[in-house]
Amino acid sequence: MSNFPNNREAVQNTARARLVVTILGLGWLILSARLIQLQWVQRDKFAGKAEQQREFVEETSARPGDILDRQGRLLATTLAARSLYIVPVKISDPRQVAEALASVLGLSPDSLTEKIAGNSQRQFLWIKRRLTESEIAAVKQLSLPKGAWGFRDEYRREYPQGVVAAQVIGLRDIDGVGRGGIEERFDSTLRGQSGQRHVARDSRGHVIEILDKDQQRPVPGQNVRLTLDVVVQLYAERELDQVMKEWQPESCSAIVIDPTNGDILAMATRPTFDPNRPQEASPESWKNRAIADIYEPGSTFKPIIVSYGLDQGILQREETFHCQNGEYRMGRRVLHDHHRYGVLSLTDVLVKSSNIGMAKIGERMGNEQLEKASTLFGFGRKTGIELPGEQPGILRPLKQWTSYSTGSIPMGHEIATTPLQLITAHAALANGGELVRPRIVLHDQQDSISALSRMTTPTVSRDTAQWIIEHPMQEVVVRGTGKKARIPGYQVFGKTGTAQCLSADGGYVHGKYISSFVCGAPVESPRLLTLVVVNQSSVGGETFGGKVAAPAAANILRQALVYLRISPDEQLIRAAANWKDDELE
Amino acid sequence: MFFRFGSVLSLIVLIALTGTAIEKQILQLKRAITHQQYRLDVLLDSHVRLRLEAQRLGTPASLLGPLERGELPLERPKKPHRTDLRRNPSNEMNQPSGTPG
Repeated sequence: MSNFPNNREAVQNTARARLVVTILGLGWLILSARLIQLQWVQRDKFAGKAEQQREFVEETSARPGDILDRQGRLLATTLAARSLYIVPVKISDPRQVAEALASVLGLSPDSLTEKIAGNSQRQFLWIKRRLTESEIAAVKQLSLPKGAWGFRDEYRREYPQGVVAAQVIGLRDIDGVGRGGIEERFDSTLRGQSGQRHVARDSRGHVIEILDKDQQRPVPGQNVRLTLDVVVQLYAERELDQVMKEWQPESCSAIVIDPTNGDILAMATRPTFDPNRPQEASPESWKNRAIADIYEPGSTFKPIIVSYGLDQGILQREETFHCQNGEYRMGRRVLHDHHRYGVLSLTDVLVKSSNIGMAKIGERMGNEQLEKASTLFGFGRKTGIELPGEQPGILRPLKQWTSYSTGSIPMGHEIATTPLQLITAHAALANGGELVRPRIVLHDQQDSISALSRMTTPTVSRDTAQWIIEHPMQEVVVRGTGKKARIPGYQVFGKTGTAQCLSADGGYVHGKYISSFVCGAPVESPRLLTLVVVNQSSVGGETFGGKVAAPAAANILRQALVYLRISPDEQLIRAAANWKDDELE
Repeated sequence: MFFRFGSVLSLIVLIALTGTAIEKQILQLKRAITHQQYRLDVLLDSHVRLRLEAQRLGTPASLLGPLERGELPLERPKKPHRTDLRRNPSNEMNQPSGTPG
């Protein structure tokens, strides 16, 4: 009996212990159940939430490719730059922030305050793009509200050659999109592919780790190498500047082409702009007039028609034409020449640039053959050069041609062409009769800019083409309308052209002329061809191509010949030197 | 008893410390890789800047005029890319045949 109370106590203790164990066990059970719920049942949900808070995907922009000339000189490249943004919704005092930012970024405090206040509910607002290093340092010194601003990495396009070939290169806008020229045409090639990476942030939003998963490295843009040679381009640009100064035209353009393969060595236009400062460019300066301006070619078209007529056997090299002493009635129309010519040989019709002679050739050939000649040499359709904005020119369908056309077309009227079309047609004569597609991109790269098939179309026979170059077109420079294009030491061929400006209603603008000159050298094996087109000179009255455009074209050609080490004619040099010796004696 | 408990505890601590050290080393390597990637980006940008500056200094637009006017001293490279000289017939034809060109 004495043990009874002890037994009772022991039973009570055991019960208490069991209760405690049960409670503790239940507690552990609950905790375990919760753990299972968190770690197993709802694992994905919570893991996803945690990941969202810790990780974010950052886009890494690709560095755009460079644009180079044929010698590898930089025409366009890209530098890393930082742009400043703010989070307006986190800014309580827009004026204070605006004044601070405006003081270091050179912006107007009032307009910046207005901008921030007007977008107060937004999460993102650009303040200034592509800051300089000093601006970045100055912004960092400001005590701006935390989490309310930041920098974003971008790229800035630089054009180290300045205005050189501005219209050919084009530019990239503030958002990195190519606008005009090569930048637009090869935008996808140059741009590259943006990448992305997952980064982990701490509670303050700072990046603490770049995670391995799903990392896509950005693919840099590819370089594009042009057929242009900056030195030849510069010769062309300088001559155009001189033309603008001397003749004060509305615009002018120049092209230098290698007739053997269609490589464009220079393509220049005035007025122009500096792609590094696009905000200063005038609306007229954006246009690449070498491919987008159309005009009546005038007399520069004549050799095309004559070569076709000869090749088809319609004309003979030795035949003559009576030029009616400067006045010729053709139906209801009376044609005039600048001088009263009598009988002219076929060569002299081109050398003197007789309109009446050409009208008679037109009568002989007829509209159908004239249309075939124009089409064969690529008029009325785009050349296919790798530049945006090229115009096809105007060559009306044959059924719309009239008896007027028979006289007009052979002298380069009733047809409109771009400077590029014209020089391409002349390149066909210079290379022995093959119409070569002009190209501005050098296709020697083993990349996505695959070599476009070299498109050549036979036009006239080599013999005919050579005769046109070596006789009438050389004589034009020796004793004809293009005497100002003579180059010491080289045998040059060429053709002048002067045409009235077309008005918007289809007629002509009186007193306004387009002067042009196409020339090439050396005659025996042409390596270079140059065209200069001057639109509406405002000084000098009736501005003939031989007077306005020929000196500029010849200067470009002369400098390019020397620069490219194209051998001069030794006979010409010896003859000139002997003549000098005789004079000295 | 104590020895066994101590051994187990030590082993657990050792494993934990080793794990921590390895984790730390992994993080250091990751940081180093990120740092190298950043340095590579900086170097690439620096290369582009220097190349741009070099090209700017040597643009034909800035050199051609002074060269033609003889304002810049012209030194021919010891191993020129092309050995044939540029000939300007305009200059040659202004001199008698006996005069070197």
